[in-house]
Amino acid sequence: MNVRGRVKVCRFCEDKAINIDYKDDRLLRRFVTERGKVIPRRMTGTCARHQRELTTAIKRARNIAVLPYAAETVK
Amino acid sequence: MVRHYELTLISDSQGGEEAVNQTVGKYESFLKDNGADPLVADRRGVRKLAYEIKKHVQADYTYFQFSGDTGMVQDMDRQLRLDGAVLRHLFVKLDEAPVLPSEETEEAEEASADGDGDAAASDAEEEGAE
Repeated sequence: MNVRGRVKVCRFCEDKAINIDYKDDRLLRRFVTERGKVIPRRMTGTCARHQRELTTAIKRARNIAVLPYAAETVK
Repeated sequence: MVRHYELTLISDSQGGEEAVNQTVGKYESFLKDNGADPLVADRRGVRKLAYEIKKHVQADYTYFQFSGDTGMVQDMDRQLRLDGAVLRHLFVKLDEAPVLPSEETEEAEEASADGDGDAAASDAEEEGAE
């Protein structure tokens, strides 16, 4: 029935204390892949509103070299 | 019109600490002279860049939070763009006026944020394994 096994709840709705901040690379890194791509909502369970805030934060972080636009090519 | 802003300033750290202090000091006084109030400066020091900027692998990060005139921000933006000692800068509009925080509250916030972050990490890993 449920393909994913369990329903994930948006982290930011659960804990209002977490601020989505473009300077906080430790937090943002959990929402991008190793290559630096944004992880989709269906993987993380983030709600629409917070995903929107996240993507803006990630884009800002990329701009100030806190997050990479893309990881280095091939290891 | 007065708005609230946050400015990220990434300055060239190759000239040594003194050069960085000079650059940061220059813009701090620029803000002060142009009536930015309140003005909060957050020096984060030298940090590794996520990618190279003009062949630099590391640079100094400073964040300013302030309320100031929109025209002043435009002026400053122009200056920052022309300044070779500034590798990158970013103005972000804030919803609320910056508050000069007492140090205790700041630390408490950081501590709670860290704890949550770790919990999420394990969540993410589980998801990936499925």
